[in-house]
Amino acid sequence: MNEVIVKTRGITKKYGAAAAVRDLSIQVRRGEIYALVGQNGAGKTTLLKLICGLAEPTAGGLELFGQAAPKWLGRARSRIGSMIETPGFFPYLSAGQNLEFYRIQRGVRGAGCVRRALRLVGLAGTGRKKFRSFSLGMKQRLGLALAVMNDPQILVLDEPINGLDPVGIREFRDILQRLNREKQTTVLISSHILGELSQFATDYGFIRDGRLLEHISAADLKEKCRSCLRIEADSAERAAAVLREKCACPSVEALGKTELRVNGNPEHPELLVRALVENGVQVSQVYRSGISLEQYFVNLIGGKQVA
Amino acid sequence: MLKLIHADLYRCFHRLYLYLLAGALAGLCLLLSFQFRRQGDITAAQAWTFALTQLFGYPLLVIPMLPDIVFTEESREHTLKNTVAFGVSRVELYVSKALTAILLGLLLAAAALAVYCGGTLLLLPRGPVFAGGLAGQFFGRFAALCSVYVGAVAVAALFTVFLHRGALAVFVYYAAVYMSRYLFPLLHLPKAADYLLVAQVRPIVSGAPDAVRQAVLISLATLAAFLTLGAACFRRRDVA
Repeated sequence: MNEVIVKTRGITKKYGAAAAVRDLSIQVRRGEIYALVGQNGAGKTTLLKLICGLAEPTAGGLELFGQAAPKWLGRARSRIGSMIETPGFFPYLSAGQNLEFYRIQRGVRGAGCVRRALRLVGLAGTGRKKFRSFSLGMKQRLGLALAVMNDPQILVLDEPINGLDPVGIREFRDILQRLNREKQTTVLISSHILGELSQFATDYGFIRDGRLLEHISAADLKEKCRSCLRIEADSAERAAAVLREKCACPSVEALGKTELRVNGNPEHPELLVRALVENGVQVSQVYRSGISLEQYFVNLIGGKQVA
Repeated sequence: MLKLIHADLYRCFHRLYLYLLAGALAGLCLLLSFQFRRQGDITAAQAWTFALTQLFGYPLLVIPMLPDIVFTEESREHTLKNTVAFGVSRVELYVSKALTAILLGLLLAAAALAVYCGGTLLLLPRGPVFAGGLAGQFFGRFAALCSVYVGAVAVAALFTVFLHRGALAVFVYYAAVYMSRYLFPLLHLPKAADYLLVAQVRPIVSGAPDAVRQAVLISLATLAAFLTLGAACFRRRDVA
């Protein structure tokens, strides 16, 4: 789990004067499922393109499998399976023919890998149907088939579940988890469907305006999102002050005029309530609540403290 | 490199467009043979001489279609990223694609030539085709002309990669190949027109051996220059 497979060091990509990625450093270790989370235009796709060699960095460095020299990066990329933006294939070829084209191009011996990849993504039955007649979901599946065809050590996937139906999304997740579990395939994935990401990601990188805001493991994120205490009182501001002074609660956040949140999941809420009442604060409701990954992300890009 | 060419040929041979193009060229050659037959007094030898002196410049018109098959389609369908992301060197990719376009061109030319020669031999009285060295001269000069054609493929490939859009690239190719000779005198470079690809056709089909050799060298130099330029251009381009 310790080998660093992808490492960027202050990588920057500018288009004219505008920087899509700025001084961004991430590390993806073997066996991780690293989720890149960010709004549209945050720089996720550009970062993945830089990793896959589809764009040249303006500044900074990139290491793949410990190799940083340009001539070795090419060789290292042959160990990557990728799907960047919409899958691109030849419309007049069938799924099998499209994969056969890439099998020949990559010098993979035997057509077995094509059949296996098609079977894995559920496209084995498409026969001679041309790519141009595929639905968006089928196109995404073929993109994944190409990405996994060579038994890559890392999958770089950009919004791979766009266009998939709920069953397709579940199958997609199962495939990724199976590859990760059985072959220790590392996954670097970006997606807007945060609820889905939260089901299998082991690490998260939150990106905004081309910068990495935070890297956090799924375990730490779960802990952060796990639970908090919500209190409704006649004055949230006064209640917060009491909790900070009398109960030594460092992380108290007023959410409005009457509502506040105590982060860190306090073990004895009754003591907090007693302190509030004794200090003249009228408490109308106390309950535990957690936040979702989506809420965490929104809070993060909105600049709010969560923990 | 061979794997890349093999894969491109696999794709092209699964495409109807290539067969339509080959069929259209062969059809035109056959049509010409029938036209000669209708005129009644033309022999195969005369038809071959006519082709040598009058027709061998026309393939330059068809050549932009070859990089279109090999390069433009990959840009349009966003398939290049699958290859580049696998770590294939861009220079290798560009050169392999240019070579694929050249191979396809040579195959199409061979098919058209076979239909033309076969058609004229079957439909017309032979005349002294195989006498007086006509056949040798015909095929020898055609082989020399292939250097002009491959040079033209490299020119068309550069414009295709540089301009991204197929139609615009074809337009610029025609302008560069056919119109630039009118531009050079304006730039006070009247001699430069002699080094254009289109100017190499005449010396090859009817010139002395020295002129043929010089024309072939100019064509091969054009090929090398445009291949290098194209690869340099492709190397820096972001792939979508």
